[in-house]
Amino acid sequence: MGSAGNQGFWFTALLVATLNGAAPLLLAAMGGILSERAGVVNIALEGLILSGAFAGAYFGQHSALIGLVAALTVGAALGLLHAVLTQVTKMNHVVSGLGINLLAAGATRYLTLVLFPDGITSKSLPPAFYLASAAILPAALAFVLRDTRFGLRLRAAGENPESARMAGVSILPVRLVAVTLSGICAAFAGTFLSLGETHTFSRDMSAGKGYIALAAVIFGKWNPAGAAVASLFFGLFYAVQTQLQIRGLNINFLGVEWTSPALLDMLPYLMTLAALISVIGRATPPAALGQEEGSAH
Amino acid sequence: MVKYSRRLLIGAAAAVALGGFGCPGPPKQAEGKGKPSEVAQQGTTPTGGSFRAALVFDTGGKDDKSFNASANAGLERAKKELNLGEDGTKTVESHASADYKTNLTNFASQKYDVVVAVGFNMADAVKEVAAQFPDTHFAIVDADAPDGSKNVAGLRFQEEQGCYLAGFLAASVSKTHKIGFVGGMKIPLIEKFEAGYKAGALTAGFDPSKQVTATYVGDWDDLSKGKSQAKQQFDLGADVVFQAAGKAGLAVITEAKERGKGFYAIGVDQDQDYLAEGSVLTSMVKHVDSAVFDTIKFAKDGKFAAGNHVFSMKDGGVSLSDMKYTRQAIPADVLAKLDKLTKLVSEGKVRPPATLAELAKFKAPTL
Repeated sequence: MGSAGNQGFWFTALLVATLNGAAPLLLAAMGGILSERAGVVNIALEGLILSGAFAGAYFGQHSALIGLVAALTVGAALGLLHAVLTQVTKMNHVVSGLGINLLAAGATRYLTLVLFPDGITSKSLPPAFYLASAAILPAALAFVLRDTRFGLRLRAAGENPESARMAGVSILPVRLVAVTLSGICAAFAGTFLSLGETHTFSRDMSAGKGYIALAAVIFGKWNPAGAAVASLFFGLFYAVQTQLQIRGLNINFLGVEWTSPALLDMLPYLMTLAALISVIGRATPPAALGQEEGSAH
Repeated sequence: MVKYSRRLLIGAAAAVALGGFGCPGPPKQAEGKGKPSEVAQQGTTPTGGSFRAALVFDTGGKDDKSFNASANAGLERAKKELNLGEDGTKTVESHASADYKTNLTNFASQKYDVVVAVGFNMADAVKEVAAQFPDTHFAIVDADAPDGSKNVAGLRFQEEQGCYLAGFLAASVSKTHKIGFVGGMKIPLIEKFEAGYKAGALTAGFDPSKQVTATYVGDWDDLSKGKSQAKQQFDLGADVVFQAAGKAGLAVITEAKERGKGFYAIGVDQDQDYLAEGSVLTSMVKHVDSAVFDTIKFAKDGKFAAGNHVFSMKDGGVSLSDMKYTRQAIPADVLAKLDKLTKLVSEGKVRPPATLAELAKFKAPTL
């Protein structure tokens, strides 16, 4: 106790827990940015993560690689579905996202009962693979958004689709591609939960991570770097929460146990609210977020 | 604006349709609108005293390899041993707490003879529904029967006894002199597990406040968080971690398995030793299956007794698993002491604490 060696362990444990906690949030948040910067609200991240986790585990029983490919395919399909529902049939973005979340929850629950009622064990992918992806993806996405033609069009679709169209950019294909990629990112985050960490699938195992990822997008002001930092912060936060419990530290004040896990679990959401009402800097969403092309003005 | 709201409505309808697809939802209130099979079943019952029993699960589902799975095993056993027939047993999983009453009412109105609510969350719903169906036998696991009720049995367990032995064993085999605990939600029921476990460690000579770490996941579903908590406890020196965290706890077993030799998890509710042979030191088995089976059997034999039934180590209600895969790795003197302790607890000579407040006052016996 208290020796230098133990201090080192303590730090390593915190760091590893932070990175592992942040990775799925970060990967899904990049998906959120892709979609939202193109002007499509994406609360479907939760369902996309869950579907990715399921497909990864189910198709990854013999080969993790097949599981990964299957999960990304499912993510792409659901992403495309969200894009088509919102862009072609002009469904309200939130309703479509909610529909996909409910579909994912219901379908994975049903398929779990039908396909593997006694549980499932999948092959595994090294967590390092995910951590490396999580390190590279924000930089890559920042580059794409800032320095490529596709990125410029994507941002135009989210900020001012009207002008973009005047300039001869067709918005629909840009949004279809962006939201499909968004689905792939979120499903990839889902495979971290199944293939990377637990090597199984269990109902509702996404446990709200999609919403926290969305909170990271907002908290990071729709920027890859910002969302990455926010994800790391939330990851650190979960790790600290566990460390507080391990150390048996309780902070009681005004009759409330402030270190209670149930209370601490609310913090990411509270911080997002604070960001939205401009307590900590100002969070400005893409101007045309959630609007139909051409209907807003 | 009109156009917009209509669109929203269609969207909402689509979302509901999408969400509904593929969900084995709670059975509809059988009023002609139920699925064909349910309607048919309603029409053909009850002919000539065929006895039927049903389980209503909480939101967890029976695939948890733990608490719910155990209850389901009890029902399956009743089906076989009491010859309940093809339609004699049925289960339904609640999607949300709003479904409890619907599910209980549904079975009661279909004239099931015994309806067992699996989980303390359903206590209020059971109280209300049982009052409406006085001829139906109800039981609730992990909660008290309502005061004065004539048709509800409360099935409770003295989990602290099993957890006490688990804590003693964990502390006795720990080479790092540190053990851990991962709970699901921080509620009195799970704190009971923590208290018993820590008392067991104390009996093996540990200082629970320094040598036993405890964390709570906050829910039963987040495997990722369960794994992270186990990882951090192992990283900080624990070599045995007891889980009482539902599905999230399964990830604790995965983590112990991945670490390999020298690291153990302890399973909960059902015998989970088989989930990772050699990596699960033992399991704190809570015989929900026997409790459910007994309740159904008594009801069938006309011996159903309302009120609370407490299952303890003495009557086999709680126990440690057989340790099929780990027994040979445990020193003989530890096993001998464990047997002695089991006897003391069964005979009521040692009463493990059931709350953290009781733990503070607990005096460990000398072995």
